[in-house]
Amino acid sequence: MNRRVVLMLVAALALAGAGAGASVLLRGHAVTPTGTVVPSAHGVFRVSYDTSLRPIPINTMHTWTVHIDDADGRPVTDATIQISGDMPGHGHGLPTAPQARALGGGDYLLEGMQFQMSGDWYVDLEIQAAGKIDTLRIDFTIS
Amino acid sequence: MRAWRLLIPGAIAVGAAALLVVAVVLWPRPQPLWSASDLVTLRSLWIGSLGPVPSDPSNRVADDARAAVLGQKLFFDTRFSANGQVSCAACHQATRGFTDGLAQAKGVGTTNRTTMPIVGTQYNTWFFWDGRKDSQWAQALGPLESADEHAGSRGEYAQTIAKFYKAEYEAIFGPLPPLSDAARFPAKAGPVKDPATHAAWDRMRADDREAITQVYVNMGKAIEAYERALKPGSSRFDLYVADVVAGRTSTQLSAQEVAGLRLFIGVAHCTNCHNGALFTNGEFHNTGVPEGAPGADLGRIGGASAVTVDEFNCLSKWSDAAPSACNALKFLKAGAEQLRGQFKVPSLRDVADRGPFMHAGQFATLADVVAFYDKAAAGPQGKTELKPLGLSAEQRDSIVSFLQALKAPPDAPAQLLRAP
Repeated sequence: MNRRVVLMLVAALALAGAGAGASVLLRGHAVTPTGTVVPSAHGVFRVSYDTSLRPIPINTMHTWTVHIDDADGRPVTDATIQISGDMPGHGHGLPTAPQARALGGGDYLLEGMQFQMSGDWYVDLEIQAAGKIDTLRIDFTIS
Repeated sequence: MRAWRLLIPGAIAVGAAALLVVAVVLWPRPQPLWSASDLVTLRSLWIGSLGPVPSDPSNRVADDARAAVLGQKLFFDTRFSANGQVSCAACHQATRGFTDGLAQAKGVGTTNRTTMPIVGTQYNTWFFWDGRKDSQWAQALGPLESADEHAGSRGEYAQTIAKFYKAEYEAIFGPLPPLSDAARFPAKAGPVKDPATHAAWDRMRADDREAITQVYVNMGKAIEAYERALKPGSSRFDLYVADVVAGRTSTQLSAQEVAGLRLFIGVAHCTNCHNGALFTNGEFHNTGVPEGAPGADLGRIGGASAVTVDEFNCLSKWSDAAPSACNALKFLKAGAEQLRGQFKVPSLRDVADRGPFMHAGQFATLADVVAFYDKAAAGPQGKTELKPLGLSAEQRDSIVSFLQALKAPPDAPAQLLRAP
């Protein structure tokens, strides 16, 4: 069994075990799986996300959807979301200024998402609702 | 005794078979030249991955053959300039990859940046080194009223259209305004640097200014229709990739060029920005390039702000696009400090003969460019995104050698590459 297979098995086990947890490490970079519920940094919100294009391409504008519940599992329908992102160690940030709009039922559409390089990325969501504010970092890799 | 006689050769046979299996497993086999991941990258850079020319909803005549014919004439016509000597083709010379070989472009005056190529720009989202325009037609209009380039005014250009191109223009765009009425349409008028010309423009009736601007916009749209036909051609690199993805041994690239390609997509990290079939991500990055012209050049931070208020942007009244087709502008990142000192990532297709290089011709040769990126020095504006690479001289030479393999004539009929 070579090193690559071992790494893939570890990654698969980690992903399977992620469940309702946060990011998992994959080849040294954290990956936040789509479709799983992740608590925000201070536990104020519980968030899941998905992307309109899979795998995420480079240089193509697309949308993400985000679902936000409060800590008790009730949908948050009136959140404002600030979106930023970068590649660790790069500093150029996102090439676009994405915007979020509510779709109802705790769902939000993030429009204008685009990434200009393959490699490790993160997107930070600053979520504000009902007088509370918290952040969530979504980690992913574009290969 | 008899059993032993049978067991010994059997054991020998089993042992030999085991040794053979071990030998087959452990015997060094030739490694494929490119890994599966490399092949994905090579295919993404290949011209076969470029796809058809995207539509331009902001220009309703973008694919009108009559507009392209008119646009080519306008592109090569020096009468659209203050001194009668400057055409688009004065700087965008077809024989030099649609550039001019100068560090800073020279029209009526001298600009602060290098002439950018035209071929392949029908795939672009942003135009100019700072991305201050968002369509080919809006780009074409910038130099026409720039004091350092064509240095004329839209009022003069409308008169020139009426004098030399009336029938062709009206067949495509409809009637010209009554330009012979000198009281309403002064010979020189436009929102330009020259105070007298600007004052004449300000004195015009608002609807007459609109009528002149419509002619000016249509000139840009015709020029775009011409430029859309100038597609990038296939290089030796593309022939090499075609061989490799088909599983054929290729002789298109030398060993040094292949070594350069391996560095280009590997440890030199060139494909961080020079990715996709045009060898550019179409975006803006700070690579710490020194200033090349007098004064500080802030790059994208200025261009991003400019395009949001540009008279001719995708959301303007002069654009034919529905607002829903202007997502690049709608989700534009402007005002962020990260944009300071960023410049557009140029396509590397046919780059070898386009020197001097960078946004103000800072480097005379590609060897200078690669040496600069190897060192990754701090730049004059903002923060460089580069990190030192630690390449050897041989490795740097290989990358330069590979870039020569991207030479290719435009994929366009010969009659489009000269004055009509």
